Amino acid sequence: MHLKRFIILAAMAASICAVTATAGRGQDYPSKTVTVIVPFAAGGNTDAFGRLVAEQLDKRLGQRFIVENKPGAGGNVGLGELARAEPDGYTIGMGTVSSNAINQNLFKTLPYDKAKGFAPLSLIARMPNVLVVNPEKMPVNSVQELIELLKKEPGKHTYASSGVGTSIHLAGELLATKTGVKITHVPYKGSSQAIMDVVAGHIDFMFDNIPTAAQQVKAGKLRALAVTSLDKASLLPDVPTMDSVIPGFEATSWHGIFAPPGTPPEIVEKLSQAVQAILHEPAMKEKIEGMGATPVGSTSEEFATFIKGETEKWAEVIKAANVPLQ
Amino acid sequence: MDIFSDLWLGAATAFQPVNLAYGFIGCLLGTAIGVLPGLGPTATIAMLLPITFGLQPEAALIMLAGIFYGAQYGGSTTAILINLPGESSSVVTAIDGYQMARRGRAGAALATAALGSFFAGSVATLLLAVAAPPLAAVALEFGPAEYFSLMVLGLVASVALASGSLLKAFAMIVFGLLLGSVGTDVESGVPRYVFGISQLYDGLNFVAVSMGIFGLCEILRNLENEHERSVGVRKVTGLMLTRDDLRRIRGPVLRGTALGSLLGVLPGGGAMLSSFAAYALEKRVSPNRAEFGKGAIEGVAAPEAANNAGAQTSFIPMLTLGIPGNPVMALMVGAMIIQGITPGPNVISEEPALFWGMIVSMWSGNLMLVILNLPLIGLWVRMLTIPYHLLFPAIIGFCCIGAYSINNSVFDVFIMSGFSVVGFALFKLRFEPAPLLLGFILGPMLEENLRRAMLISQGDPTIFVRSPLSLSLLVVAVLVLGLVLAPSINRKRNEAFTE
Amino acid sequence: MLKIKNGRDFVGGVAMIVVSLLFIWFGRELDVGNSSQMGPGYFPRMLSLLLIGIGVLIIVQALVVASEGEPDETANWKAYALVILAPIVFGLALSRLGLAPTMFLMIVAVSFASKYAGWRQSVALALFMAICSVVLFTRLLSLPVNAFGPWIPFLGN
Repeated sequence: MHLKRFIILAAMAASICAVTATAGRGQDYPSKTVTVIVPFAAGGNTDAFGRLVAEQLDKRLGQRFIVENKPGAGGNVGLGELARAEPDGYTIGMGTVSSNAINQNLFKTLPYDKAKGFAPLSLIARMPNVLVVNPEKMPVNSVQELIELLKKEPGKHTYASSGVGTSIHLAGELLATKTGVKITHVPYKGSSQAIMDVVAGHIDFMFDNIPTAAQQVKAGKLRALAVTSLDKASLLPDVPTMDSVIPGFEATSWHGIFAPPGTPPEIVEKLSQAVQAILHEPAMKEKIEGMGATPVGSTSEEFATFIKGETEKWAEVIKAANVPLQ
Repeated sequence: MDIFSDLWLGAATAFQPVNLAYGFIGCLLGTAIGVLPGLGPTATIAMLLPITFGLQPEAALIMLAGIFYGAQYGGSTTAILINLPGESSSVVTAIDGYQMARRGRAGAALATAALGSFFAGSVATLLLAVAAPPLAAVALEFGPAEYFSLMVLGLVASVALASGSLLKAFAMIVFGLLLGSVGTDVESGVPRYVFGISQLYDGLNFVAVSMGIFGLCEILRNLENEHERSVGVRKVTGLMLTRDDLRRIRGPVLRGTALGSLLGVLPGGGAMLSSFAAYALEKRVSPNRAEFGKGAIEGVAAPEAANNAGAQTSFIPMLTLGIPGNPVMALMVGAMIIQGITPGPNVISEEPALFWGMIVSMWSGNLMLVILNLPLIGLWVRMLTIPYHLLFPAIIGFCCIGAYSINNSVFDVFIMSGFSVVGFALFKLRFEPAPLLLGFILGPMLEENLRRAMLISQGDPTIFVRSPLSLSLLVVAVLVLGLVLAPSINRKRNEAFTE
Repeated sequence: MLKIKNGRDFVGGVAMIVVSLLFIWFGRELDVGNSSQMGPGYFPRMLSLLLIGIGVLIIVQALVVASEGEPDETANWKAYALVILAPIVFGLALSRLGLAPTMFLMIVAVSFASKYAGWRQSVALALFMAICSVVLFTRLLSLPVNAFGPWIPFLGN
């Protein structure tokens, strides 16, 4: 009798162990609701990508993926929150070029451990910026002509940005450091006010995210000189790349998905593969391209290497341009 | 006439049963949410944005627009009933609206707000249909220098918000401006007064500050002198407007509509300024000047008309240029992009059904709101008969959730609590909070545009007088300052003589 | 010697000066720059100096012009403490207890700021608010907060 009871107990214990062990290995992950932190306000690009991917993860993995917007301090508030979350795969988060490659070089203090970083899952999409000028104030038709004009009249011309340390600002700094021109940076809070002042002619030029700028270009309010990606952009197929004039000029904004540092590799792999598969679906590709972005869907290793390169690149630009630490 | 065929197309879109239904849902949600303290249109639209992803673009945008102006209606309800302005534009409504409620005229104040808003909304919508492109061109004329001069004018005019000492009103404006400087400096990216707290990098949140200084502070004041069960509110008399009321609000509503329609076009703060400007104007021209601050019906009619007109015309930069003028518009742009429509200068020609449908739906939405809100007034007024000791805990509860919902963070709840202390101290010292809030709103814009203009002019301050627009705004500001100071100087002189 | 004729305004003027000094002190490391090259500290510094000026004027006025004589007010420290602390308790408990228990406890506690409060009514009101807020905010508006937090056994997660 005792032996029988013992065997039953042992079997039960073993099965419980087995269950917890497989749970640890991510076999039955996810078994409850997953939170996706978006470190920016609702309605922006990062929010849109986050929601698109969360909706598909929902379908693919059979659990609810709920988006939570935790905006503030250029993404730092949300990332701080992600870093503090339990690394069990039930909290993941979005990140961008500014929150995950620029802020590290820009802020004196971060609400998370810079050295530990995050576990990259996959790069969702890249979005080129486009160099636009006010056609009335800047009688130039190409990047070369712009550079000539800027060299002839140093310090006379202004460019707008969506804030200090944004990819839009740093694209301008990259132009200044690569060509040696002297231009005045005029920062705004967000890009809509900035592009409005370029359209109105209060500011001479700016780099801006492609979708909004492309509409102004089509309406003849702005002239597009070049895109900042290495390939031409689908929304502006006739516009050359910056790279073709200034070799090595690349300044795209990108959006990716991350897990907290220390998340088990099995869970990272499972999520990463799911995101990759989602981004290779034609319907999804079409949706992202419609937003003016290029869908990517990289592996977590590729994404990690990519972030490393980006972080180093922007660190150099920030140093060369003397952007003050925050 | 072309406009008629356009409006016909718009009507055909807006009056489709499904779009009407979504418009109604939007208005209803907006009103409900506007009434809850702290939940403004921005937070609501942000929360409901994902729901619209599955809808047709027209239906989605009509619903979101409905939430926006529904919340404008609802926001004034709490301002009038419990002195709790849920958003910047109803700060002014609270001044005289709450006093009216305390004198038993909550019904009349609410009716004034609803009717004034409806009239203003209808006129502004018509303006939007007829003159959107030329008005957008006006908006483009405003560069950093012009904005700076406009803000200066706004600040000078805001002294009129105070009914007590001018000196103390100036002190409050400057205190507000200082509070506005908390957060990351836009020009240099250097954080100011953040004490290493990440949440402060974007500055203090207006809603949290306002709920502390107005809403919670009001509760503290009421509990201090708790003599009767229902605090301070006299017996409610007459829900509707008397003939005399109607006569008195006619002028203010017309002037408020005009001011609001013009200022609303300016992105970044135009609509906010409009209600302050309308109040200041009325306080100067009204024959009942002495009543302002003590429950003047004009002090409700003018700012409500102005803020609703401004809310409608603030769509102009977004619809004609594709550039959002305020956070709500930015969310609408986000919704459009997800729907596969990129807003830009060509939206009118490329998506005529959407553009004109939205315009017509704004009018039908306003109509729905007035029909929805007038019968509700009786209900709201009855709310005031709930014993105060049951009402105030509920207000605090909603304030806490409202503050949390701003950024999904409890930090703003703490800020709200902190500012209830500040507000109460200011009340004890007889400083008035409305000028402080205006300074707080305008401060960052004033500083940014000042420094931006100086960057563009390479340090040459004559930029503010070289532009004719900026120069005339500054001249008006000086004149207004003279007008504001003159009576008090006169009074001083008279006092000196009588002594 | 000058006599303070309006004590309230005198304190008010002093308070404004203290506020300005705080802004100057905590902003002492901000670069001020000059009027054509304004640094991040320029605007707050100028405003602080202006506010000191206004504060001095208010004090001078308080010494010259007498107050209009308002009735004295009675302080209600219990009410102050409860109303001011309630949001802080709410903020601290929200992520741990969840919305429903937090709301319930806070409403019961804060209702005693009024002298007309009674246990039965307070509990009923608190229950109503707890249910209301859960239905409205977590269900209908899907605010990212749990109805029951991790500190509540069985129900929380």
